[in-house]
This record gives sequence, C-alpha cells and structure tokens, in this order.
Amino acid sequence: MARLHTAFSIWLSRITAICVVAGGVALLVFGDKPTIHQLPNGQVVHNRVVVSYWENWTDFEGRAMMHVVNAFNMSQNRIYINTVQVSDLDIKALIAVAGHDPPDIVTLWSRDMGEYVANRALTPLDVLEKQGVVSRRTFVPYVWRLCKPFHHLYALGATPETCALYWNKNLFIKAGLNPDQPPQTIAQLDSMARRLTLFNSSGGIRQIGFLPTIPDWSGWEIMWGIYFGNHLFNRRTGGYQINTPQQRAAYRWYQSFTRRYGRANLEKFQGGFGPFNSPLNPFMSQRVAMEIQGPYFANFINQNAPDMKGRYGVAPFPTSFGRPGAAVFGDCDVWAIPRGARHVKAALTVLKFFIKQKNIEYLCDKQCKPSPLMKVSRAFIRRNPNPFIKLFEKVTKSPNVQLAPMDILWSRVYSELHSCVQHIWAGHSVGRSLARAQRVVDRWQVNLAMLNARQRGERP
Amino acid sequence: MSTKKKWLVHLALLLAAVFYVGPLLWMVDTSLKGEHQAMAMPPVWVPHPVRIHKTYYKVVHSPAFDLTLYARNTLIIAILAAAGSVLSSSLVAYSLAKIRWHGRGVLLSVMLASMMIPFPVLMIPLFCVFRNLGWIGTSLPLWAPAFFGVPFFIFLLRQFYLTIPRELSEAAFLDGCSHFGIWWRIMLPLTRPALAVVALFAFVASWNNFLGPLVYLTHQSTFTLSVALQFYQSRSGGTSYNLLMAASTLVILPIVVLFFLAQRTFVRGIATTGLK
Amino acid sequence: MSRGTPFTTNRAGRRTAEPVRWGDQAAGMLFAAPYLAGVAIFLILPLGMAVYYSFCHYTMLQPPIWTGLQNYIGLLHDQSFRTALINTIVYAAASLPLTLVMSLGLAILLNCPIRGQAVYRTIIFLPSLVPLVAAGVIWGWLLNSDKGLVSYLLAPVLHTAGGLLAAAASWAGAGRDTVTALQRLAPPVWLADPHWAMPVIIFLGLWSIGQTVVIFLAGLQDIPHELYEAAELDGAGALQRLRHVTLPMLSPVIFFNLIMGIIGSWQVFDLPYVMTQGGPDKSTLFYSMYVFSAGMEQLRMGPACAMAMVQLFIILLLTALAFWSAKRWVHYT
Repeated sequence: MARLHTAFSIWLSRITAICVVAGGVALLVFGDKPTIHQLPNGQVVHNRVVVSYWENWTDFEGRAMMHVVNAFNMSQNRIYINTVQVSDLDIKALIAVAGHDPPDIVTLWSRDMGEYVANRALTPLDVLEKQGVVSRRTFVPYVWRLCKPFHHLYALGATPETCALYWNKNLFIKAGLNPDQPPQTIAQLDSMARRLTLFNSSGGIRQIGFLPTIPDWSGWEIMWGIYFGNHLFNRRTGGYQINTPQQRAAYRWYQSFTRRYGRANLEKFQGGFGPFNSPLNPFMSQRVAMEIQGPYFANFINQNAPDMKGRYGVAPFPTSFGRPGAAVFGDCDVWAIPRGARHVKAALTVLKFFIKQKNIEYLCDKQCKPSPLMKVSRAFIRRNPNPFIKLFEKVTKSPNVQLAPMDILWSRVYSELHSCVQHIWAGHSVGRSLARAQRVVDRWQVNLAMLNARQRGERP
Repeated sequence: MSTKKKWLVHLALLLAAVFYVGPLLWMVDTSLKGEHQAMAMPPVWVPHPVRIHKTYYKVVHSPAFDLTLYARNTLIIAILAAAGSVLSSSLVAYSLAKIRWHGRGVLLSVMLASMMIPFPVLMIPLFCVFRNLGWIGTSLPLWAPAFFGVPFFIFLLRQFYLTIPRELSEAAFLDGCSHFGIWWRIMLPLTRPALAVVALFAFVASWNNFLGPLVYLTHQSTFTLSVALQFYQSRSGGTSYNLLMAASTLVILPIVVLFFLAQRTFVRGIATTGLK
Repeated sequence: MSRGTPFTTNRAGRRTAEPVRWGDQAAGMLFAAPYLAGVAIFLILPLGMAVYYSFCHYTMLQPPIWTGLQNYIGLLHDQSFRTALINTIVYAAASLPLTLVMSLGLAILLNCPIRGQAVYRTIIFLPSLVPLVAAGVIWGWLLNSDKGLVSYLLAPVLHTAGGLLAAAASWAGAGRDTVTALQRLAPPVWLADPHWAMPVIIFLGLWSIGQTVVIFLAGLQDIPHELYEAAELDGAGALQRLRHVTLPMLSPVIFFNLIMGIIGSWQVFDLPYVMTQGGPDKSTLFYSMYVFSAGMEQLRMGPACAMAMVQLFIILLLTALAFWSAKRWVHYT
C-alpha cells in the first residue's frame, strides 16, 4: 500500500476538498434561482395562492392547455396556476400522494381513475355538484360515469378520446379498393388488409394493411375484446370477464396476424417505425393502410403530413357482432384534485374555470378532440380543425363507449393482461393463456374480498 | 513474446475495441444526422450535412428535456454525495482503524454485512423512511445518506489507515494531539490519494445512478440526467433516434471528460478495491 | 508495546488485555457517530419496516392492515414472481462465468507488452463509466430490428454462411425444409423476440466490465515474475502456467469479483428497464424490476417488502455459500 501513496498524483488537498464542499453548498443555497412566477405579460406575481398543476400534454397539445391556464392567471389576482409538465404522470402523481407531497391539480387518464379512487388518492368534488356547477347533464354519459364512479364526484372531464378507424385512401386506390368504402365487419377488415399488404423482394413486409399492435401504445391490445362483444368488467357482479368466448375469438384473431406474416417479420417491420409525432409515423409515411386511433390523430396528420389532408378517411371501427360503432373503446383525460392537496379551495376555483364551455371548447378544438360536454356550440363544430369532428362527436355521445374498468385491481389486471397478450403474440395457446389470466385475477378478487371482510371485522 | 503472438494479441484486442468503442462512435455519428438520414437503410456512414443545429440544439432547447436544469441537478447531487462520502467515511474509518473502543468490532461486522445488501432490498422501505422525514419531492434522499457514511468507502479508507504506521500517530498523541488533531493533521494529508478515489467513485456512482432517482424523485424539476434520458426515450409518441443519440452523448460527455482528467486515480482506485 | 497510547495494531475483533480508556471510547463513538446514526436510520429502521410491512396489506395511502403470511403465500402463487426469480437465476448463472472469463481474458491480453497498450486499456475501460441508461439507449438503437447497425452488418455474413450450410446440407441429403431455413438465415429481431431478449441482455453485461478487467489487471501485475520463470524452467506450457500459476495466484481476486457478481446480478435493473421494460412476454423481467413495479408502480408495499425479504435471504445464503466454498479454492498468500 505504501507504494500506492507515492504512486498517486496528489491532486486533492484538504483545501480543494473544502472548496468543493463549500462550492456544492453554495450552489445549492445560492445557485437555486428563486422561483419567480410570471404572468404572460411579464408581470411578476405577488401575494397569490400558487396552485401547482401537473399535466402530461406536450407540444401543441400542451400549448393549448397553457393558453387556458394563462387566461385564468390573467382573469383574476388571487390565484396563480403553476403548470408542471410531468411524464409518466399517473405513477408519479400516485407516489407523490403517497409521499405526502401531491400537486393541487392533476390530469389523469381514465384507466387510472379506478385505482386512484379506490386508494382514496383523490379529493371528492361533491361540493361542485351541490353548488350546481356540474350535474349529470353537464358531461356526455361515459365521461360522467368516469367522473362519478362510486356515488361521489372525483374528477371533471377534460378531453375525450374515443377511437375510430383511420384509413389511407391513396393506398386503397392503389390496391384496387373503393377509397370511400371502409370495412364494415372484422372479416372485411381482414380481407382488405390482406390486399393492402405488400412485400419486398427479400420477403420482408413493405406495407401492411392492418395490424392490431399498431399503434404500439401498450394498453390498446388488451382492449380488443370489446370489438368482439366482450365487456372486460361486469359492473353488476364486479367480476372480470377475461376468458369468455368473445375474448377467445378476439385473441385468436389477434394471433392470426403472427401466423399469417411471421412474428419476426412483423417485429422487424415495426422496429423501423419512426416516432409517433413525426413524418416518419407509419400511417403518415404510407406504411400502414388502416389503423385504430383517437381524434387527436388528425392533429398530428395536419402537423406532420399536411399533404395527406383529404387523402384519408375516418369511420367507426368495425365489430365482429354488429355494425361498426356497436362497441367503441373510449378514454378520457380528466382533471382531479389529489388527496392531501394544500390548496383545495383555490384548486376548485381553477377547475370551475377550466370546465367553462368556452375554455373546454378551446382546449378540445386545439387538440382536435370532441367536447366532453353535452352542450356543444355550433362554432366549435365549425371551427374544429379535425375534418371528422362530427363523427367523433357522435361516437363520443354514443352509449356504446366502453371505458377501462373502474376497479381497485385494474392496474394489476392491466399488467397481467398485458403480459397475457404478449404471451399470445409470442405464439402460445389463446385458450390456456386467457384461462390462466382469469384464474390469477379471480384469486386476487377473492383475496381482496377476504381483506375487505377482515378490515370491516376489525373496525368497530 | 514472438511477433506472431503479438499480432494475435493485437487482432484480439482490435476486435474487443470495436465492441467497446464502436457503439459510442455510432452514437456520435447518428447524433450528427438529420432524422431521415439517421433512419436510412443502408446506413449513411458519414453524416452530410452535419446537423448539429437540428439535433444538439433541438435537444438542449426541447421543452421535454431541460438539459441544463437536469445537468445542474445531477451535478449538485453528485458533488454533495462526494463531499458527504469523503467527510463522513474518513471520520468513521479513522474510528474503526485507529481508536480502540468497545463495539468497534461489532460495528465493523455490521458494516461488512451491510455491504452484501443490494439497494433494491431497501429501496421500498427507505421510501417510507424518507416520506416520514419529509424528503419526498426533494433531492435529499440522493445525497443526504452519504453524510452518514458509505460502508464501501469506510472499508476502503479503513484498510488505508491500517497501513499507516502506528508510530506516527503515537508520536503525535504523546505531543498532546487529540484524536481530531491526528485525523486532521496527519491522517487526512496522508490519505489524500485514497480520499480522491472515494470522491471520484462517489461522484461517478451518483452521476450514473438511475434507480435511486427513479424511485425518490417525484418532481420533474428535480430530475437527474439518467432519469431524464429514460423519460426522453419513453415519452409517449417516442423520440427520434438522432435526438436520443445527441442526448446520450451529452449525458456521457462529462463523465468521459472527468475520466481523462483523473485517469490515474480511477485506475488505481479500482485496482486497490479488488485487492482487499 | 508502549503504555499510555491508545493505539493498537491488532485487527478489529481480537481482544487485548489492555483496558479501553473512556476517553477513547467517547472519541471512537463520536467519530463513528455519523455511521452509527446512518445504520439506525438507513439500515435497521427500513429493515424493520420491511419485515413488518411484509406481513401487512399496505398501499402507503391508508394505514397498514396485518395479514399474516398472506404476502408470502401470494408469492408462491405468483407466476410473474416465479418468472422474475428464474430469469434472475438464469442471468446470474450465465453472466457470472461469462463475465469472469471475458474479463480475465481481456486482462491477460492487456497485460501483454505490446504497442498501444494504454489505448486499448482506455477503450475497454471507458464503457464501464457510461451510465447504464445511456448504454441501454445506444444499444437499443444498434439492435433495432429494422434499422439497427448490428443486423445490417450481420445480415450478409449470415446470408453467406446460411448459403454455404444449405449447400452442405443438401449435399448431405438433408430435408428441404432445413435447406430453405438455412438459406433464409437472417439476424433475429433481438429485443423483440422472447427467445433473444435475455441472451442480448446477458451479452450486453459484457460491455460494462471495464472495472472487473482493471481489478484483474492489477492482480496479474502483482504476481511475481519468478513464479512464471520457475514454471517455465519446469517445462510448463502457456496453458499449464495459466492453470498452475495465474489462476491460484488470482484466486482472491476471482473470489472478490464473484461475490460482487452475485450481489450485482440481483440488482440488474437499469438495462432491461430501459431496453425492454421486462418484455417481451416477461422474458427479461428481473427480480429488482418486479419489486420496483409492485412497490412503486402498483403501491403494493406488502408483497414488495416480502420479495425484498426473500431476496435478502437468498443473497445472504449465496454469499455464505461462496465464503464457505472459498476455503477450498481461494489461496491467500
């Protein structure tokens, strides 16, 4: 060891060490710019209640929300909304609530609502209903179901996202199909997809008609059952319906794509896709002819592939059991106040402002989405840059919209189903995979019931 | 060594070098291309034209990836972690190596045992501890524990102290020097190289830490570079590869520079850790 | 031994007849105070909490409810837990020997007196400093199934090799399916293929072994030259010298790296989290990732803590086993 003493170049003396420590502390204490809240006009905010608001929209969607936030900040002088863009918001916000450090307002997805509500991570908003600010008639039916799941109001609808079929008319014409006639049934979808699929000389896929794993946002795949007539969650019995004939049909169909094209071939094809929000998006770069997507997709097409305007169509997605639109997968962004939020009163004031028809319509307009409100102004329909806004308005108000289950176990069931679907995609038996997932979920429900019983028994 | 053998060694090492440095070169290469060129097949080897303003500029000014903020966060945490580790570990190591007291042996064994416990075992309950301390939402969980001594560094420094001849400290003691005086005047100067190793390791470990920030940082404004890079990659809609590679280059660069500045300390430090 | 000074040269744990002076006791505890507090707050307290929560239903949002052994029984039934456990064991079993052999081999090569030695050393060491998140991002791009450089470079190689093999196979009278399969030999889709994702992650572990290489290198340099010269005089070849001089002399270093490897393989998180998120089909779901997702994503603190306890138990068991076996093969000089 003594050898090492001499071998080392001495570059850190006590003095430098102290300097480093002092520098670090100084950086921490003085380097931290004091947060100055500024209004859009540059005026510095004094003596206002600062409401922290976490949201996860980015780019032009985020800018639309910022416009509404700025409008609020300018409209009065008591409250200031401090917007923070947070990625992976659903998890971060839940942990922040658990860590006793929540924001005052969050944007959530509908699929998180069940877990948040059951874990009592949200502040009930019943007071808004009592004051008559909102009622059953304010929001479209499925959004209201989402906001008031268990006899209490927990959230307010922001922007609905109901899915529909997008198809590329150019590719339809090239394949000799009628560009104005989208598939009416799943069987038609399949046969058209086959004609729209092209291969390159080495046997790889060049263009695909339709693929149930596009878009590759995890979560879509587990909802395919609803287009085959399944209801994942039985609200009456509170049980999950994973291994039903409809589900098996859905996932046999899902798996059939890997057999038709080869799994490796499909993965290779999908690996080459560019990012969603870029001209290299597979739909915009003419590599995918038909795709299931939400209303906002029109916005991204307008931004990234303006020459596609008028060259694509949108229609309700076909179902295996009825006409297109007999079942619709719906999602919705909502605003909520986490439990333990420090400025609940101010947050309520902000929410009241957000859901004013004018503001909601501005937001949904800029995001190319339909309105979550029952009352829709004519100007909104006329102005909305989504060329298919009327269709989406209709779909959103239809009674066939299915939400992710509102259940405490949903996030676990979700990840179980997600791996179950991956298992099926990898080529394993559909029946056995679904049966196993069903068994697993059933056992969780039994355990949960036991736990609830014990909890009730222990409490006087 | 025969010439033939030398060529074989060269060949083997060249292959290894391609494996080790190739990905980094390709990263820089991709980061200089435009989006279409980066995704071109067959690949474009030499970017033309070089697109720094389209990649690095875009990354630095991306609203989703506030690089300067994350770099500052990471730097502050790393410096504090390094300072804390050096300060506390050398104190504790002195106590364990040079002072005789009851319980010293027990503490040493506890410390050695705790080195066998990987972080994932404790990360969940530690979250509850930090929550009760009110540290969630700040970066305290990432550097404050370093001020309470890091077992690995304590052990390293203790081994170092043990090699310092007893006579030195004895003489100082007889001259009326206190333990603190001995630590400050004799031990710290003598162990500078080891302290440098500790500071460097703590800095790099903190800079590269991913799981810790992922678990304990809830506010995006406190994110470190590692976590931010992961979010930049996985944000909904994805990020194009040329931007990702530019971001990666920026995250790696400071560590590479640090390595070339303190190369000897690095290598000696690692060499000594293995010989214990 | 001079009386009146508190210094001892004996190693900790061995008692001496000399009584401890109370001033030393106070100073010793004072100097160790940071770590004493640290042990209490950041080790014993969380361990205690983990033990307690592992017997509870606890979401952090509501107070814990005692459920006895429910969490542990739940683990027995948990398919994902089993998958994570098996994956981690497979990873450790494959990656430990691979890492040791590869880094020892590189160290031996880097120890050869050749030109450019320093450059080679730097190049091989450098990736071990790259944050694993960045490593994951870079390799994710290199291994992209369609636009990845690796597949692009491998495709012609595999095509040629496949063609040759196909020719050989048809000459040998193999079935038509085999021949066409060989003719179509192409790079796999790497991370998107459940069979390939794990091997890829194991292989990528080799990219960051720079530190292990340096440790071996230092160990090699500490072996006295006389031993090799003596072995050469006895007529030992290169392999025999490796077997009878290098390996025994390096055994403490190998042991150190083995222990570190065992602990490290239970910590694998960054690379699979960034590259595959545990997929496809759970093929790269590692133990730490499952603990993380149960605890921090689903707030199931009970099962997460139970898993942590099981993990702790397994690691202590493996380490004890390693220490026990060390008596037989580790030679301290």
